[in-house]
Amino acid sequence: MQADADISAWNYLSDLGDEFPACQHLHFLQMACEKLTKAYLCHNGFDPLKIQSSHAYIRKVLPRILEYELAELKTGNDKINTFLGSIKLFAEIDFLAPSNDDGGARPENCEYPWLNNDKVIVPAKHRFWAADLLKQTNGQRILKMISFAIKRYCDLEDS
Amino acid sequence: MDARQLIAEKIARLHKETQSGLQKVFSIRSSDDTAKSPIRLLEIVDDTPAVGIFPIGFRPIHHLGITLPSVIVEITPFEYDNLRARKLNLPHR
Repeated sequence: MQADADISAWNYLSDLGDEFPACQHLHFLQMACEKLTKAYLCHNGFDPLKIQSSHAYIRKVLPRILEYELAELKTGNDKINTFLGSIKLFAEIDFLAPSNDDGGARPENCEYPWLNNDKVIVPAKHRFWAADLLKQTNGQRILKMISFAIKRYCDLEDS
Repeated sequence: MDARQLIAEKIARLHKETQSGLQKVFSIRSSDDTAKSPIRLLEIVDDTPAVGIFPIGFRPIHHLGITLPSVIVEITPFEYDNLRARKLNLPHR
């Protein structure tokens, strides 16, 4: 349900155009994906306390969730592979969280400023690669499937 | 042609280049639309998973001349038939 609220916030901020910087917008996507992946892990027997603090699940777990949902929809393997070929996008969503910086190699994130060659970079003025990837092939479809998977988990909670 | 229609056509052209299986694009307009309202497009796509209506919001893309936000609903041809038969509904916003 919390992930559903995050993805609704993503859509709401989209409607407002440029009133808020892209980092605010992307932050809600990152949080929605993180909660979806953790819900999936908890549903499959992982200890909620052990996965609470770490964020680096999106690139590994989110493709598996979408693969499962697509298989349930009887989608052919070739289409699933094409669909999930956007592995860079999943990694870039992970990098939006400040705790996932690839050992310092990827300090850019949606929440806190970082240093680049002694210059302070502010998220609100940064252009994120994830935003560009979302506009390319499959980005729209992946967002749709993320929304669908979140709804499925909401329905499970309600049942 | 007004500015909103021009932007809608720009998005549709961009998606025809980048989205596989895209068959048709419809621009959805409302009498409540203002000059700042998002552009709403309904896209009929062969390759998209048939999961129902999930509107996805996008920010403006200024460097491509898309100066308004957009909301895209992507459905399959079968879902489009269901929409026309009123078995599926678009959200009212």
